[in-house]
Amino acid sequence: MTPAARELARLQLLVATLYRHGAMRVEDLASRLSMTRGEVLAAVDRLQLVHGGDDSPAGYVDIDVDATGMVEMTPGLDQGLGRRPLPLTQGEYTALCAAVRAAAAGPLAALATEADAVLARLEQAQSPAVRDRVRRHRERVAIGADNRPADPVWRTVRACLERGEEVELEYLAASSDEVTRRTVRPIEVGGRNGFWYLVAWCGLRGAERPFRLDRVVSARPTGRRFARGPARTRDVGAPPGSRMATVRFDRDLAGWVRERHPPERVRDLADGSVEVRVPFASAVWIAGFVVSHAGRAVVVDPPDLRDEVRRRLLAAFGAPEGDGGTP
Amino acid sequence: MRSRTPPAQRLLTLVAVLLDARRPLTFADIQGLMDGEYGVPPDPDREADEAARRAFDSVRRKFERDKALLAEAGIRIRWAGSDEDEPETRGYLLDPADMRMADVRLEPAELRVLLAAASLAGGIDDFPLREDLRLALAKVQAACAGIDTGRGDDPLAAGWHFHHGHAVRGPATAEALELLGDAVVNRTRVRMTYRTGRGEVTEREVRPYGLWLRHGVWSVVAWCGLREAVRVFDVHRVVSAEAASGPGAFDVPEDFDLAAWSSREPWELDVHPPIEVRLRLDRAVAGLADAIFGTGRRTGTGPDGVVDLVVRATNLDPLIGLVLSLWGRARVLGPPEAAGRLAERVASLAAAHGGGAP
Repeated sequence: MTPAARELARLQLLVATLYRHGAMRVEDLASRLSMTRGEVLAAVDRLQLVHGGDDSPAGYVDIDVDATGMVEMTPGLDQGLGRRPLPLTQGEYTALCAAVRAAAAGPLAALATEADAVLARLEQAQSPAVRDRVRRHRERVAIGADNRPADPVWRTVRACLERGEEVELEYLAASSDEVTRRTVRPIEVGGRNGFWYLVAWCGLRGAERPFRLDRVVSARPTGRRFARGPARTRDVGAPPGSRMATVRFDRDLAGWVRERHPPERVRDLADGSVEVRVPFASAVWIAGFVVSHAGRAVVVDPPDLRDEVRRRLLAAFGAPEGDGGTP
Repeated sequence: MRSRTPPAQRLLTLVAVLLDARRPLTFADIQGLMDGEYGVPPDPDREADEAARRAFDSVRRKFERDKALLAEAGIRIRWAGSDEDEPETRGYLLDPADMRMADVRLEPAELRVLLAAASLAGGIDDFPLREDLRLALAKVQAACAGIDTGRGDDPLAAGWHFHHGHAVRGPATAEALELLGDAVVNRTRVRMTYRTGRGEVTEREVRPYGLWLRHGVWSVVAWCGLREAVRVFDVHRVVSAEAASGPGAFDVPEDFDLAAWSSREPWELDVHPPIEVRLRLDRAVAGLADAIFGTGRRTGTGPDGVVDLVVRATNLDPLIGLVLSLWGRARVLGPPEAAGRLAERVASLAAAHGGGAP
């Protein structure tokens, strides 16, 4: 949408919001309409100037800000300009649809029915012409997290988070490659880099830890409640490591690698392959990362990490024919 | 003629004038009511000279542009009547019913879904329809009857957040995303310079069908004029993009299904004919079967808790990579082609990591 059309929609919405709620503080209007205080005041100025020529000097929108910072409007003079909000545009409907679908596929999996209901109700509130347009083309933008925790895990974690209830997890930790059982106190569910995490106080480690939800093998409510601390925003992802590994990727992956790593950590080799320095905290994690490229990535350094990859491969899949075992 | 009025204010005045009229208005009527915004109505008793005609054409074009802007915001000005009708019943008309959203009645749980969903999408850097989302939410809130839409102390709202700040970026990602977001919504063509994975730079016109974010990458699926086929493009590889000139909105095929593209796993990319790979998952990670192999079909659960799956692969290597990274918790049962590939990769990786540095 062009800026002028968008501003028009905002002005109209401001009038519609005042119709709905009566006089409002400038700050409240600003927060409801995602505008700054200055933008609200400028919008009020604009609206005062909406009038149809010299023969209607009073203007269509009788609006003003009083000395206490309340925006007041006398309804009824505007010929219905702002009695109701404008219908959703195609872009607005698409945006809502993408957001609701993403939430229903993720943290709100248990509310998938409500998510469908929301979209149906919004569709019904549009005029028939608009409804036809949005129905045909609503699913055009999608947001997907990389990982899909199993439905029962999502449901249990979310319910326990809301109730403030301890939950027992079976968790496959990427740092140790072990499945452990622990009781945790859920603090927050958050997404980062496309992965969903549960941040919880972990009884096993005696500390706050992030758990990647697609590695939770099972989740069971315990029935034990705890008092939640005040909400604060955390960095939900795993902390970056302090050791560095050098990994060589073959030429087919060179472009892909360059897009994902800072240039100062990437070195081009004569045969078209690239070497990347990757920070890591856990040798087990980075060994898994390297083998997940199915032979197109090899650890160059450090030597103990090379040994780790080889040792884990042979332990997991057995010594291949012709391999003389550990050197 | 005044020309300094901000466009939004002029547009809103035009809307109010049309709503106020309660009858169709001719362009001359609108000129008279708009305080000089579209010039003054021509004097019927005077022959217009060249300069007057040019001035009239110019304000006429301004009016047409304003009509188009209003249409973008969802307000459609119509022309009423035909040549056979009485002149006073012909003119521009704005039907109030066309510019109003009906009351939206949401249950509390539904409203929570909507607010939480909006906060999720709002947490994504460069979400291309961010402004649309904000406006949409404010509109819905203004249309919500009899319910307080403030977030309050909703424990769910307080207990989760989403930030996708590490999408892979290229030189023009933010601009390209905004343009492509508009293009998929309005079905408009885009001309772009694109760098392929192999570094080849080409220029092409595309018709974007859908846009999605996955694995930290925004992708667009589009009909590509250069290849004359539907193709997927990574937005971060777009070098530059602009709206293409030419005819109006294109049609998206009726059977287009965005989910079929956006939910494809790496092993589902079109590289070779399909192979049905049979896998067995250990009991310890059986609960992760859906999370790891979402599209896989379960074929059985053994008494010792193992889960057997069939995964259809058209790009075997990523699936083999995934099995390798599970360190033996997943086994390839067949077919021999897949089991052989795994053994071959184990051997080559073990050899590459043996002895001294490569």
